[in-house]
Amino acid sequence: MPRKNAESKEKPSEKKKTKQALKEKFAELRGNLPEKIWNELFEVAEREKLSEEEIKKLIEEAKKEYEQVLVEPCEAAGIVAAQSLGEPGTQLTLRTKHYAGALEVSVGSGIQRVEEIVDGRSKTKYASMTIYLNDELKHNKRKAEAFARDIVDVRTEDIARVKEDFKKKTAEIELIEERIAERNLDKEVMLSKIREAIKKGEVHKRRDKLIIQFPKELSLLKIRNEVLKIMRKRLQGISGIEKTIVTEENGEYVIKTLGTNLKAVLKRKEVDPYRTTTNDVMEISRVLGIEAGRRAIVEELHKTLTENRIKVDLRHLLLIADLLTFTGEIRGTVRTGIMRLKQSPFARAAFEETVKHLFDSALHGEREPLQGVVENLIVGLPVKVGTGRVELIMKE
Amino acid sequence: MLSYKCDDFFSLEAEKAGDRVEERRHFLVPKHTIVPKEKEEEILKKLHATKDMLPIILRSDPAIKKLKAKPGDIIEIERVSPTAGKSLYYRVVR
Repeated sequence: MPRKNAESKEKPSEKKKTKQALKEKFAELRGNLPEKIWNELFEVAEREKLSEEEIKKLIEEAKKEYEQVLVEPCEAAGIVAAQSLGEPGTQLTLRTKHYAGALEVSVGSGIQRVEEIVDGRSKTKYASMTIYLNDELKHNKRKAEAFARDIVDVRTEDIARVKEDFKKKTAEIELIEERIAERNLDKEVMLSKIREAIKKGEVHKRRDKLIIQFPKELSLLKIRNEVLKIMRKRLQGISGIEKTIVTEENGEYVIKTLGTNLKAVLKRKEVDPYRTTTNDVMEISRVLGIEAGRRAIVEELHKTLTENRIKVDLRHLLLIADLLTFTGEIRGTVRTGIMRLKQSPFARAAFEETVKHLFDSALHGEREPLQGVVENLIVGLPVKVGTGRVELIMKE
Repeated sequence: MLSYKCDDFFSLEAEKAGDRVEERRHFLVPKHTIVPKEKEEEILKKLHATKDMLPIILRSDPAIKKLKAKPGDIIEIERVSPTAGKSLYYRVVR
């Protein structure tokens, strides 16, 4: 039996080898065929048991087809991408309004979400993280839940109320029983943590209350500031994480959160730092770099569109994501983002704040090179796109 | 018609990690390498571009912090693309 097993294991690797050898043999014929098509060709060749002569023919045929579907020089790919996203976007707007009364449609997905990503807003409205756990925690529900509770941001003001007495210069901090119970916290630990936060004055403990006697010479304003500081003190958790929930996904426990703080979460040893993500694309580009941000844009846009059953070719989204990340940081399609980088004053004026842009460029003596689409439309010249770009005439 | 799944990104990355041991990266971060000075010209010729026409990557970008890239270097990025398999992209450091 073991021998047979070893044989069957060897076979595919041998097959792989011959495939690899074939690939290397025809490598010079590859030209600019992308990897995916290249691999598919050899899969077909293997399945149909083609001879070398036939493979050669197949590659040549595929290359011809591939070159035919490439974007032509001077084709306005950007405009096509914008329209491809814009048209279904309009449909989506209408549908969102139609669904406005229904409960199950969340506001965090739909056209607002697309707008948020494309505009490059610095704050995501419904920020959420997906935290994958390390090997120890991912199959242990109890530990995962304990960790999920541990990272929730708890401030003093969330679990206690305060009474100030400015005459006696005292403040009374009282824990709220229900709030502690619903968060599953330990009363004594919380009290001692609040006590650590108190820097000035004497502290007396009376059951669930902490009574602070401030020094007599302290001014009222300072007492107020001191109390506010204590109330805003983070007692536990990671700042920004408001709520957590443990769910099961593909046989492992995963934590979903409301609120995001990627950098701090990735540093915790309980999480899997290679898969944990957030839906805040700006944060990803800050923490993991611009390329990660670009991919996050594509994935978030694609996710939002498929959720709303809108089919937009992925290539349009790739182009949009490349444009948004061109300058090394995410810039939105707004006048303060990529529009500001446009060389032409007419193009900027045509977008938003016409008078301001015209006035500013006149003040600085800018030149209008008339290279883009909008500028040429304004002055009534042929647009330099497609056939408008070519200045030669073919000789028969 | 072609159809795309969002997991395309995941599965391709998992396959790649299988056949050789590499420094593990977050699944969103592709591989970044500095292009040697000798090869720069060849790449720019292939792209029909000059250095200032390339997309930018900031010097402070977390993904190239370890590479110690200087402004003006070209960074080669090995993207995992759902439409082309593997694709190369170039950014210039600023």
